[in-house]
Amino acid sequence: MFLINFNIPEVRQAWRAGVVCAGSLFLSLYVLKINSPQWVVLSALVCLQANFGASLKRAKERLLGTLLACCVGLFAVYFLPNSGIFLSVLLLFATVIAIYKTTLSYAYSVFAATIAVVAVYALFFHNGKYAVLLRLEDVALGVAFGTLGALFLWPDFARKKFSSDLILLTQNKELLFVCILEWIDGKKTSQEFFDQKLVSAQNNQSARVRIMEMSYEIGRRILPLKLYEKFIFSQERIHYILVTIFNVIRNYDLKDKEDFVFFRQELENVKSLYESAVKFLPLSKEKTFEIEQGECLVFRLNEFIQKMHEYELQNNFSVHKFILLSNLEWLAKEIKAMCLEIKDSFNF
Amino acid sequence: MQNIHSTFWQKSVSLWERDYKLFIQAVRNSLALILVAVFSVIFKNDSSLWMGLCVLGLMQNNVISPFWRFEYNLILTFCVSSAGLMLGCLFLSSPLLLVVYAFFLAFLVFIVVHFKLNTIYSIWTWIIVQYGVLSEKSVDDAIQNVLFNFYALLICLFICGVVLRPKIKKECLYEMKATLNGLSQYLVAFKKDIFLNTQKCRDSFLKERASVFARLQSLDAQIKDIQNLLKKEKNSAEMESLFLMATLKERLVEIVISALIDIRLLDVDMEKKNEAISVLNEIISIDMKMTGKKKIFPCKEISEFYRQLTHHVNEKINSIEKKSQKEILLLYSKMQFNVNLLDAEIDRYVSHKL
Repeated sequence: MFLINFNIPEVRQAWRAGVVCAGSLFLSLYVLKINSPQWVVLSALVCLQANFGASLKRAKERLLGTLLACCVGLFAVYFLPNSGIFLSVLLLFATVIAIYKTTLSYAYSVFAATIAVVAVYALFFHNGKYAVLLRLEDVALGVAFGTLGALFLWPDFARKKFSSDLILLTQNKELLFVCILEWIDGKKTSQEFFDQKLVSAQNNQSARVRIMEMSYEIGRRILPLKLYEKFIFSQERIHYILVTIFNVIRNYDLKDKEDFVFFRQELENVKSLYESAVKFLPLSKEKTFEIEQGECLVFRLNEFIQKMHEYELQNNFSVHKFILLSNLEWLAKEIKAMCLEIKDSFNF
Repeated sequence: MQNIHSTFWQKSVSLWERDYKLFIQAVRNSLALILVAVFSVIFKNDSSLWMGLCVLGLMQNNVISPFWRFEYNLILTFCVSSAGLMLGCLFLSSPLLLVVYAFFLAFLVFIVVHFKLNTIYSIWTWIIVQYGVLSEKSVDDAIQNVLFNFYALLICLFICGVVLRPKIKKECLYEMKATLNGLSQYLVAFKKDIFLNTQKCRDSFLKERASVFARLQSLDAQIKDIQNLLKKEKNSAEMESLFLMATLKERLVEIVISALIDIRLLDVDMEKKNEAISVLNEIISIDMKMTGKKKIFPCKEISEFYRQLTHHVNEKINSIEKKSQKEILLLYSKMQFNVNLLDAEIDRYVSHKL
């Protein structure tokens, strides 16, 4: 059944969120006897991110933003004019900044939102100091509940998710190959290719974000950051070369030309080379890197690069087809570089 | 003193243009909050805090909805949140039942993410329902909450539909300019990262990279919105030009990013890398001459402009090539070819081969 299928990340996250919210509400109502438990629950839910590293990052930003804003808020309450106009302007200004910063910087957004809360209390209830204490209490409790929930309830760790991210990354590159081939065969539209391109680019970016989340879990020094980054770079290069190949064929109408079958076949060949290369990703026991197979693959890639190079020297192709050949050669070179990076990663 | 004022003004304007979409959303929120305050004063009720929260929830939930679904999405969010508030009445008899309901509400937030329905029920809708239910004591309270939620909806519809309607053309023009500005900042961060190679530079490079990526995503969403509008109003020349401009901008960013990835890997001295980066910088600054005007140009003018850009880049690269080594030659030929592809993109679009 879908709702208890814990293999789905969203279902795990939903259960975690449900339990954390219910738990924090129960504790706030029965144990801590808090008057406004909704803010504790809100902080807990906001801090509960997709994995523990992301939750730690969010918790740190929320605490930092709130603490700073409480200091500034207290200063404003005690030392600045307590007039309605001043507080209204402060409230509106803080709201604008809080909303503006929502997607840019969470810590700044929380900082401005806290200032807005203090201004609201000072304006409507003439009790800004109470708002500061209330906010500190709510955020501290919420952050604690959220972080503990992320750690103990069906936990997802960024370092464990990273391998599945890499698999997804390579799977989406394979799909990008498939999209071009199927578009050439008339089975897919160019819009479908662009959609897949976006998914593939998003995967590259999420793998980068995951590296940062991992650093929150196990520290920067332990992390083989550079190694992972190199691998993601190689995927990005493959992504951009594929996009260029698609644009060349599309913009110069090459797929309607007579000898295009040859290029399609070579693209199919390079796709199978890519598939063989990513099979060696050292992500599970079944997919361990075997040096002999790896060397054989590098040999095949070298052969392919040589073949493309020889075609380029023949000079009997149009400029556009020459460029297509060069791109295929670049692609094979990138895959070769990727193979070596996979090998390094396995050794690590 | 006058200089300081003008610099401050210029900086404020450029910040406003850079994040126009975010700022305008923030202004919408603030205007709605002012209306809430006015409403509270006129009708002398003390529910301004609750209505303010409803306004924020409804408005913010709408940020992720596509352009054409703005008002429609507001009404849907109102319906879902009101249903949640009324359903909460069933759980008011005991605090333990409220805890069960809180579980259900939070559970639902992530289940809808799986089905990509978070434009209707997200954490913002959740805030309205959760806050409202915890403040309810009886069915009357729930009805009153729904009523104030309805007033909040009217305020939001007034602000989003009449006062500050989303303007796709303006938003897209500003977004294109901001994307190019972000790209040139990314180039600066990239340069620092490869030349200085410190952790601080790496962090700032990754930050800029994430920001350019977010802008590209936003631009892509706008391109999709424009495509939808084009399907409805087929002969809108202005929209067609905007679509072409935005598509070209997206391609240009891709060209620059892919060239930077190659530059990083080049095994040549720093001077050569710097030279290659300066070519990219020049491409951006030439494009900025058109994008910076924040104006929709006719397809013919766009075509002419990009032909000039291609010509300029070709000339520039040809002048460098003569004294370059093999590796960098390959990079330049790739760069040159990719820029020429922009011309081909325009030709294909203009001759309606879509």
